[in-house]
Amino acid sequence: MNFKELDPLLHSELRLAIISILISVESADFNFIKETTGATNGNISVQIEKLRAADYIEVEKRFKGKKPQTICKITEKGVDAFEQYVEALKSYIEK
Amino acid sequence: MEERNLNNNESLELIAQMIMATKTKLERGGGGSIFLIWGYTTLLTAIVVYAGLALTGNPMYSWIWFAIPIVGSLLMLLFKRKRTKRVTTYIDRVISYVWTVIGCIACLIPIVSIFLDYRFPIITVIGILIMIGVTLTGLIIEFKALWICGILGIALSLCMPFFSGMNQIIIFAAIFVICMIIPGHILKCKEKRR
Repeated sequence: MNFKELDPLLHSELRLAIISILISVESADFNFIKETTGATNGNISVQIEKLRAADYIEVEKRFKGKKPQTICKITEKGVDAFEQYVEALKSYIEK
Repeated sequence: MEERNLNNNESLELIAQMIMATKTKLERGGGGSIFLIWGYTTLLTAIVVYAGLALTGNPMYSWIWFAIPIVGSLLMLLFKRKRTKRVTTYIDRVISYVWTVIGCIACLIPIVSIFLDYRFPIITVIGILIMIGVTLTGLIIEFKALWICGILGIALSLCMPFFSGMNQIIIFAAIFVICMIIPGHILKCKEKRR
């Protein structure tokens, strides 16, 4: 049986958590991701930047009144990567 | 949660856990407040139009109907500015499209009717149109009370031509109380409890 390779970018706890949140909504802000994952601001920022650099997510920074808001949205490439990751996981589990 | 590699089972568990956590945290987009904004704006406008027509008999009072999109849109702008929406779902987008189309048509109907001098049962058609929006919203967010109210509203709107002009205004206002204000308060209570 052939095992598919797991995407190293997604095979990390926090990055996979962020992508799993974004796959189920259209967009989510930084605080929502922080609250759902329970991770620290710094750690989330670093992982979001890695996902953005790989074009898996889009990040939009804007102001709501006087408060800054960071909105994250999964891209088509991110959706494909997530689907391939789940397929690869299945190939390991079905062995 | 930190940056560490997971084994296969942990990965699957994490995906399921995050999707579930997101689902339970989802806000329904302040739908209750939006229904209340449009419901009360329409109700108050209908009362003013009715009182104006009943007391003076001057048909110019009918122009006050145009206060609904103006006041409603301004209140919506204020509401959206005040609220910080942390997450947007595909359901939010679908509902927004439904109401954008319905809102545009509801605004166009009286304008076309006035400028083309085209006799049209405006109040009946707008009633049906808005109640189609209420029914669809109820079905999309799976809120039974809302889609039942919407269907009731469509039925009441269809009955409007059987009443005289002034009574139609009362029925129109009653439809908005039954189908927008009451479900709006119920939705708001549900949102608060969540």
